[in-house]
Amino acid sequence: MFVAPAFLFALFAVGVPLWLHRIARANPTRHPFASLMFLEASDAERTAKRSLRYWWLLVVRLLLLLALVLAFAGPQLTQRFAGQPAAAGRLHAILLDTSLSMQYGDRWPRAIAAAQAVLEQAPASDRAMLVAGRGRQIEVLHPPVAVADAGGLRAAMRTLTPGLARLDYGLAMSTAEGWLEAARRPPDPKDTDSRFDALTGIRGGLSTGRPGTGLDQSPVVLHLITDLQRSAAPQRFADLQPPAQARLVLHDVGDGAAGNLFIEQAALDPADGRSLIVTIRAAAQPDDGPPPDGPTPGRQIRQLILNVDGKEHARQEVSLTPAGMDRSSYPIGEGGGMRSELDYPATSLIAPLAPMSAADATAAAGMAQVVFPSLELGAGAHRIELVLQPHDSLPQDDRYRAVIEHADPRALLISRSPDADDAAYFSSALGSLTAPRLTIELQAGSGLTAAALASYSVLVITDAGALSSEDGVQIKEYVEAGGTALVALGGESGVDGAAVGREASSRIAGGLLGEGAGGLLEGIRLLAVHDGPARVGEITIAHPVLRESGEWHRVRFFRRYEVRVADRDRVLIEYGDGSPLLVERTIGSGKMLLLAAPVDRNWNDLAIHPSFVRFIAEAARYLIGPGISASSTTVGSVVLTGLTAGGGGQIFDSQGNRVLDLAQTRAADRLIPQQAGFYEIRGERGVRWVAVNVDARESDLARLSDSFVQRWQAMPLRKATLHAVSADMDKPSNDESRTMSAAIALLWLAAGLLIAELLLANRHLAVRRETPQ
Amino acid sequence: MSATPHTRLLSPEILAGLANLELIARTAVEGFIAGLHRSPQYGFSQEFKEYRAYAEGDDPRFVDWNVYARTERTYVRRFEGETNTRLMILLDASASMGYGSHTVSKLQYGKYLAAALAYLATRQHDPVGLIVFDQKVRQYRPASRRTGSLQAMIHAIDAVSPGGGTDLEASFRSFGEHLKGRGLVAVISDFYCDASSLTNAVRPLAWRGHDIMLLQVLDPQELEPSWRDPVLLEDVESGRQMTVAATYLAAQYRQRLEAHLQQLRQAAADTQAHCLLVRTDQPLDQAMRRYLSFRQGKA
Repeated sequence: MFVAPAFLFALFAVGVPLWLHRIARANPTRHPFASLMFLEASDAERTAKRSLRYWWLLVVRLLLLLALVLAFAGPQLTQRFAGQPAAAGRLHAILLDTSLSMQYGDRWPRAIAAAQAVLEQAPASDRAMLVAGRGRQIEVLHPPVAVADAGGLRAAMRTLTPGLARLDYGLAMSTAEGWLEAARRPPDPKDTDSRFDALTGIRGGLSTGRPGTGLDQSPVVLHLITDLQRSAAPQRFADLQPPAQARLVLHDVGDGAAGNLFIEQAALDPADGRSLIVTIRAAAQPDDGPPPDGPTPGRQIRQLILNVDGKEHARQEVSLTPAGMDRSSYPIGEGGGMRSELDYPATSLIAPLAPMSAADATAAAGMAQVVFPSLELGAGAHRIELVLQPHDSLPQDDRYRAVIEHADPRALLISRSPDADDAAYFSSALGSLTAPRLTIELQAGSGLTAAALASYSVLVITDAGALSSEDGVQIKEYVEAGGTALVALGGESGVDGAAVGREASSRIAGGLLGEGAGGLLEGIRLLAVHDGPARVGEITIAHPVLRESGEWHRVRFFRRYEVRVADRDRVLIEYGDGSPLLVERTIGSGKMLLLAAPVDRNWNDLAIHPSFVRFIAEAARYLIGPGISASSTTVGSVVLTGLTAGGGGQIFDSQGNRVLDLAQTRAADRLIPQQAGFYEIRGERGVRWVAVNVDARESDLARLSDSFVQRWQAMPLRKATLHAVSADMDKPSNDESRTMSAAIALLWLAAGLLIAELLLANRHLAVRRETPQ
Repeated sequence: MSATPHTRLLSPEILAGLANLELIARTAVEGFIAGLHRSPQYGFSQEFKEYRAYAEGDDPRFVDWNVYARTERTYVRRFEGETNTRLMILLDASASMGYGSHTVSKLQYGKYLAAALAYLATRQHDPVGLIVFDQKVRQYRPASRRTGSLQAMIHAIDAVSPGGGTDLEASFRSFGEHLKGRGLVAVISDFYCDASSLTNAVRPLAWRGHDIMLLQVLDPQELEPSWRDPVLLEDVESGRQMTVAATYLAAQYRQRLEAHLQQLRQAAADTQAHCLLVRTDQPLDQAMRRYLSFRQGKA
């Protein structure tokens, strides 16, 4: 089998040396001599010796050509011809679990002792390699070496410490074939990075190269030294299937039942956006009952300290009883429904639970919720840190960090004139809002741009008729991009009578109508103007804006527009005759509230009614949103830095050390934090904080059940790929489909033949040079 | 003024680079004589020995005019070592003499040798003649003592080219027709002939009172073949080809050649001739030295 069989046509070149040798034999060189008087002919001897030497030269030349042609053709030898690997010993791949849970108690010293035992029990002819598994990276800490010469491997083992990331057994098993192959391949001098990205299959920063080249094919024993943590089990049980070329040996260094108290989550109360709800869990062995030799964990009382920006802000006492984790509330399972860490990106944490007061802190079985009410934080980002004291045996999860972004919303008030009454009414009403406190800017006339509007949280348009069509386009773009607007129609004094024409509509709704081009009020028709008293009819009191809307019935209307809205619009308030008064419309990512009446005392007395202020405040709060969010991420997850979009920047870890070198400052688009704490990202747009916590799943120290472990070890091996050797540890491979290239050997042979040819040919030439003329 | 050794021992390759044969002969002989002046073994000089009555053919330059003034008789001066030794140079110009494995072929070397001997003899005031032969006599120049005849002889030597085969007996039979008086005969040849043929060729001359000096010129490749591989050899005279093993050339050939040389030396001794083997890669000194010693012994 050849890679490039076309090169075999070059075998016709063997005719060249054959022809040359035939010519040389047919034309021996004659030498003149003075006299043959004393000479005797010796044809037989001459022919024999000369022929022999020429035959050697011819053979060498033919072999040289043959070797070159075959080398370029790329013959692939099957295992039968290639022979078995010289190394008869096995390769012991020691995969040490360096996840957070291994820091609990004396699990790590036991893990090191187990690894040492593997080395001591292995025959001297075997080889061993050291691999660390944490997060997404499987790092080959030491390449395969002979067990008898494993001093460097033992030293690497002694310096290794468990980290904060989480190990997923499924990820380690499903990628084992890749990192085993990468480690067993002859080392590339240019490749100094031994890390193996489990997701991408990339070893360090370089590609793993052509598979199967020079691969060590000795059988592998994969020693997984771990605490068999239940939360490390993958979502699918099939992911635990051991690699094809390895036999899996599990070394359990766990210590049975292990109670652990940890902060699972801290989130803002979605109701008010100011209360911080902290969820604390106490985990213990859920299924196997009390440990046979360990004490039964009792009720635990801890202090929960809230630090804001490095200073203690509040402190509460927590009391809870450890219990088994509730699978329904915390989906950790032995192959059943657990999510991978990629499902937990940096998220905005809004507690999905009902708000609870501090006094009502619940101490349910294994879980407690503590509420820190009314965090009066100023605008900007705040680093909050929750600490449980005293610490338990796993102190890393007794701290929880989050970054609370407290926005400083701005509102743009657009009116026909700064001195107009409606501008004063709206400005006063918005100014009364305290949570959130709005910064109000007033603008009259046109000249709006979507880019300039993007910096405002809400637009309040007191008189839509004051806007031009260009303004209408810009405002619509702003709302579609996620902006919000509160719009009131203008009080057109010239409109009188029942019907409202096109020109009158333009004066009333201004550029927002945009019927031709599709404006903000597209689909809304001004049908008529009615003079005469009117009252409010139906009110959607379930809407957040109208929760306390009883006063609306007391508002008197002297004139009113009759409006017809589109089907997609939601009518929140109607007049008594069913005509819409307050309409909500969703446009793109934004939303708009339309008050189909001017705030004008000639039209109604809404402006002087107490419900007006409440309505404006609630509408603004509704449109702006809570304006506050809390976010955090976990060790080993991916955080987008945003540095590549700007002019670059720098990242500082929780210890204040620079994370990026100079070459990365403009190219680091993502960060994979390896420490818990606050990372500081300094970019062109200022400073951004990222709170990094340990993965809460690592805090559940429950062990996999014995039945689960047995099923795992009984799993069949993965199917062998093209590059993998048979998983049968005791029998030699019979797979003849695996091939190895003989091109290199042929090239070496050609080099040797070339030297031999030069020597032989030079010998002939030397004889001819000495020939007398 | 003393000559440096390398000047005296100019190699044939260097002599071959000179302009003409006369210059070659002069260079070789002058260097040789200058070396002799420094040597105590040879008394070659021009010291006065006796007066002799002038005879026809004597060089007038040697007439002692002071004696003539006193006695009114013409006497010529004779010097130490000077005798009227007639030198006849017999140069073999057969095809085998045209062989050479380096710059100088055997014939070229023979021509250098013949020219040097002629020059040396002329310097000794000996009459010198030349016979060029191969299978027969190709050229004959009678012995002459005149200085001008030297240049003509050298030109004649220079014009010699290798010819056909060798027939010593026939050639030497012809020499008897040309060699009238007694004298010294220098035969320059490679002597590729049987010892009996040589004896038959030389003996008549010896009987006629000639002193015969056989200068056998051979190429180094003939004496010590350097081929390390079986080789196809072609006889330059007959054109016959023969493949010869290197081992034969290294062993049997040398033995047979040595035996042949020994036979030649024996044949020469039987005929009162002197045989000298000269290699074409050696200076001409040895042959000239042998000539002078031989001449002195005969003088």
